[in-house]
Amino acid sequence: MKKRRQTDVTVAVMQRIAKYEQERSGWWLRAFHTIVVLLGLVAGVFAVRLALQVRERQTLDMIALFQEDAEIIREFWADTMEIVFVEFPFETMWMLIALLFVLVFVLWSTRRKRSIANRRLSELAKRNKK
Amino acid sequence: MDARTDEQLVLAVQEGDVFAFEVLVGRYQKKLHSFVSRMVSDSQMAQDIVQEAYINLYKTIDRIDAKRSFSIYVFSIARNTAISYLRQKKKHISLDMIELAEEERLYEQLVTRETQQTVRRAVAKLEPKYRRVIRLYYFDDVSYEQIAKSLQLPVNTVRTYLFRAKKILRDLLG
Repeated sequence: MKKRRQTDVTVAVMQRIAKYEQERSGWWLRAFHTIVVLLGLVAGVFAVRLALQVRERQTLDMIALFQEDAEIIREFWADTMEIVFVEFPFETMWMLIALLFVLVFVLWSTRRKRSIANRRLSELAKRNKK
Repeated sequence: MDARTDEQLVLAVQEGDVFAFEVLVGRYQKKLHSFVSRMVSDSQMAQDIVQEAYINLYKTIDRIDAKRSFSIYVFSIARNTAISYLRQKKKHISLDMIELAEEERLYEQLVTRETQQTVRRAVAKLEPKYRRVIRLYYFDDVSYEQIAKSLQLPVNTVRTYLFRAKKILRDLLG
């Protein structure tokens, strides 16, 4: 009867897994970083736009009213706040808040996966050094 | 030898310890190989399937419930991998087998023809009395008694001639 030949597949399997893992985790981390950078950039653009619009309309100058005497504040605060609400670029601000919320959510929801991917890559790098 | 249980190793892999999988590979490879060998009969193919099964297992390990028996996952993935491997290879295998069988047949024919010629040449070198007996007994499939009758020899003489002829042929054929 022909004798069955069996060799250790561990090395071959682990080589393929290391390659696969480097590609998978590397790709995942690159995608994650790209998304975070893009979200950050868009949020930055909205933050700058908001700041420019507020400066252009001089909306926040109205708040200087609250540095006046209590009597003046009492008389004009309601009108001042109304003007501030009318002039303030809320659309831009909500967009900025939404983007920041998404960014925080992405960072929070991926924290475990990120640490696993980083650990996998660092382990593979350590093994490669040996 | 790693003392960790399968459950601990699976959890470790899920937590990012890639090389905990190495322990699992070493732990199950013999069992898997013999399991797959029963399905495919070819040892090399079984080894390829075992490798592929491990890769498939690793790809899905994040979805595995570590509390459930790991061996169930391993063997079911190995079985599924073997089935799809066989399905994929089916056409190639049958074509290969046909070609191989044809080659073998051709080789056997050549060998048989050559052997026959060599034997015939050796028989031709025998003394006529031995040659006659050999031809009748082996080529014409005639019994001792019939040869004895046709050559008008005692049966025992026919046996002796055959014995001597075979011995000479053995020497001639090396």
